[in-house]
Amino acid sequence: MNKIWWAIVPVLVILFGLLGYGLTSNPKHIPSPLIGKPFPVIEGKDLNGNKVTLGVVNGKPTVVNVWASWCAACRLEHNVLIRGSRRYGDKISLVAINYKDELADAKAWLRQLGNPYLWSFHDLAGRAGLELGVYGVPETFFVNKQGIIVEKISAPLTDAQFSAGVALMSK
Amino acid sequence: MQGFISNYLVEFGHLAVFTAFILSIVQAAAPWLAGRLETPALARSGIMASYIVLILMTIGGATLIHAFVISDFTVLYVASHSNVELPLLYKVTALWGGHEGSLFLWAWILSAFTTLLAIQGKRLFPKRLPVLLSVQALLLLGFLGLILFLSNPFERLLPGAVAGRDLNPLLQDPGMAFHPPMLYLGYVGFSIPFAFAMTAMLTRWETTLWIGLIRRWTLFAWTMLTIGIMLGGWWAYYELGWGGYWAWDPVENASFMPWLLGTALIHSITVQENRRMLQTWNLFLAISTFSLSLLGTFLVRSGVLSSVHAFAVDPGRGLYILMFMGTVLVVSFGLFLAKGRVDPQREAMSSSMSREMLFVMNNVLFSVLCVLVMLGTLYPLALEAINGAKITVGAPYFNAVLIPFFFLVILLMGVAPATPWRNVNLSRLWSRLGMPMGIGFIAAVIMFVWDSQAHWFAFVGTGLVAFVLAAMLVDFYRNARRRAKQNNDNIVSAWFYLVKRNRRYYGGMFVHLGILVIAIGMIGSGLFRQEQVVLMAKGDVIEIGGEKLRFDGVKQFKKDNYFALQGQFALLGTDIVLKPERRKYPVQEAPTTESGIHANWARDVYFVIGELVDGRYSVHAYVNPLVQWIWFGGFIIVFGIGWSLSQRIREKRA
Amino acid sequence: MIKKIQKRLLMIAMLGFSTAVFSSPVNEDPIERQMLDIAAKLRCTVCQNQPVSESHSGLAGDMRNLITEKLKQGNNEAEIMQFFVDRYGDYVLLEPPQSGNGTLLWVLPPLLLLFAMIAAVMMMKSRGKNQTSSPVATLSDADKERIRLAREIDAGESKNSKETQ
Repeated sequence: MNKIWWAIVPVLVILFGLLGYGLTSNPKHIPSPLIGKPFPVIEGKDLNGNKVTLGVVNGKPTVVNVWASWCAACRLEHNVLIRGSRRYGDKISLVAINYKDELADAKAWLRQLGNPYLWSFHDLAGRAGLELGVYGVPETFFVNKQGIIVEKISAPLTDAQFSAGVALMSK
Repeated sequence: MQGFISNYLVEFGHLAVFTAFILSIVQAAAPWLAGRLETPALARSGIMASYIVLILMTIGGATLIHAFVISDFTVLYVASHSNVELPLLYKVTALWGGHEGSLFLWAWILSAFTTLLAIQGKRLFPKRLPVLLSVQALLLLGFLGLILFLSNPFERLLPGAVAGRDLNPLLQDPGMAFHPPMLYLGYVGFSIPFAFAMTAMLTRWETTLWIGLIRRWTLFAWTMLTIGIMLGGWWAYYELGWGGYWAWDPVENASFMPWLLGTALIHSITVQENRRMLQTWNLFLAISTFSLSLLGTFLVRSGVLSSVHAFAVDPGRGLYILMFMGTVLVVSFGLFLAKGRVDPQREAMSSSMSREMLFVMNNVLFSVLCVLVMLGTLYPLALEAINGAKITVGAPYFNAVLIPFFFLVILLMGVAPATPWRNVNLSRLWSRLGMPMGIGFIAAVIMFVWDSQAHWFAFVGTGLVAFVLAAMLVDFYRNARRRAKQNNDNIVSAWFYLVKRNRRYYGGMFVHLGILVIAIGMIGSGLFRQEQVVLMAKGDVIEIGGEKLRFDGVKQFKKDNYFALQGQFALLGTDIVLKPERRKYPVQEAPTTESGIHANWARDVYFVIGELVDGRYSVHAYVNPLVQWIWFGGFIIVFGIGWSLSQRIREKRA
Repeated sequence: MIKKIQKRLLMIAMLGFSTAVFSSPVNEDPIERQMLDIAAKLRCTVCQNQPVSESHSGLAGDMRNLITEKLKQGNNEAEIMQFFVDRYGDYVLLEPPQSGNGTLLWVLPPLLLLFAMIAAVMMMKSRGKNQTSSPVATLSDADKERIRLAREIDAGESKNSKETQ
């Protein structure tokens, strides 16, 4: 055979490498370009109507969790957040964005499952979500003291991810 | 007894398919065992096995269809893809409405092709037939293994579901009902050239002896694939409600790649038949085209690529299909590298400018197009694997990059038929193409004058289409006049005589004509579409693309398994009413849109009704010029292929 | 008589009124059009491979609203596109970027075509040099059979069958 045909071999190797990789990667995951950028300062109201500002809260590393009462995966994630807030207590601020939710539903949800957040920013129209590149709840941002986003998880958080995120924030 | 059989019908079907699996092992092993045991008669057992496998697969398919028709929700696959209220047609087509059933259909069609091959082979190539059937059986084994062990449509759900999950509403449409079988007839049909190529390399069977045989199989597979792709576009146009028919979605690309390479194969077979060249290339194309069919199946069925077509994703199945495809590709291309040169002699290219060289250019273009579609489809995956970044390669990219290549294809379509084999006399070529080129140029200028704001695709596309049409007419006229002179006949009847006599050539020309008609439709609808999104209350009138329509409110009703909200739009000046619908299928809770369309040869008025906003309905109105030409072009293509295949040839034994 | 004229006039007036109602069709809001043109270039990030302009998903709706809002604030298309790219990355663009991560996509196609054409021509030509024997002298039985078949098919047709087939 002509030597040029041997080009088939690398082509096949690359193709299979790619497809094999494709089987392991999640096609729905979008890496956030906001990692390493400052968290945008967004003003609004929490579920009780008090004025709040998203960003670094109380001068401490801040975890910003995006949730909604209509989101089934958030229910699974909730215990991780409760455990996380207990473990790290005052070392971090845990706040939330309540994403496209009715006030009553959101409050009932927190009453039922417990409220680990300092407050929940009420984002009825999803405007703050767009500002932060949110595409599906739950999502979680880890913001260090300087206000830089050091990590973003676009899936139900695990305990390990929570700890790893906090470690990154405190660096 | 009666009760016993009907209770266990699905198990019976399952058993039949399992038996088919065992028999396929026999069929695959037959020629090798025959060689080992030196009992040639054993090889022939593969033929009988292929018949029985088809019968067994048909039994399996029939029991599944039966389970769908009687709504037997103790069968998991039926429970998750059907519903008592589903119309009968969709109960039957729901068989391939999901992952398991689609794969079953694939295997079923493969067994049917294998049987047809056995029937043909018994007469024409009895000596090689066992090896051919062995290759087919190995492919079937790959699919049956997946069906039986990883995605079994015969699986029971005990206790049975009270009601079915219903078929995905998007699939409840005649276009989508027949899109998969057509696509699979195409994909699977390419297994025949593949099996021939494998057999040729394994048994040193000169390609010249069988290339004419695979031509018909390839044409058939290509036609089915074409129909499948067209049906998919037709479905997208009528059902998805965005006014378009092709979105360069990864799943669409998956079916387009084998189509492109299949087109190359058809043309290079013609070269080999006429000029005894490209033997090795043809082997390569035959293997590659089928490999791309497998790749298409893999991409769709494994969920590797994100896509609007939401299919069940299961990494185990994905891994299996990947391993299976890997095995097929490594074995076939390995064999190709080791033994790909089966023909001792070849003819040389005599001139740079000759019909064979233009055919080679055709092959270059279609192969490059295929690679580019693959590049665009897999690039995001590659990028993510390399540096974790994610980008989208969407329709704007494919349109911008690939359409110029298709222009070159159209250009070839005009030049090549006017160019003789072996060598061309340039002045003679000019005498044939000079006038068509002038006509093409004038057409492009007219288009520019008519709408100078249009995209450059419009001028170039129009010019090229006009050029090829003119070249085709000149060619028809030239041939008919010569014939008429010889026989003192009139030109029209001479032309009809030629069309009747030389079906292969004119069939091919009709296919080209169909492509041109589609190109006209695409230029019109792709570049001159008008679109408005407005809020309308009852009595409001909308004006778009020279048409006026009045909104006469909505009707609400329940039909079959859905609830519909139907807008009434009167096309003023006529008694035509457009009735776009929004449907809600309560079981699947998914809404679908049915566009309201009034079509004629010049344009489609295409309406989609949306949400109620402050007492007014959001209405998406389009005027899509020349869309119907696309479907009409599809019919011309099918007619052309049929005409070409109707040429009787006395087949020879090999 | 006068009454008749009055009646006529009334009818004409009514007719005029009714046609006036009909002849002022609803118009598309120009901002809406601008918004859709921009949205057509953005990918709906939750519904794979669908533009924001065509998606029914909630997120796409929010994105459309935001585009409209930004247009009303006087932002231009480039600024709006950049807003989304900053937050969702190049992923949100349906057309991949022509530099950086997308470079190869735009550079490769013409190169590939050029390479393939040159390779094809060279392979065909080099083959021509190696082959000196007359192909006619080496007709195989199969070819003879094929020629016979071809003649059978073309029987009664013009001698130029080579050119028309």
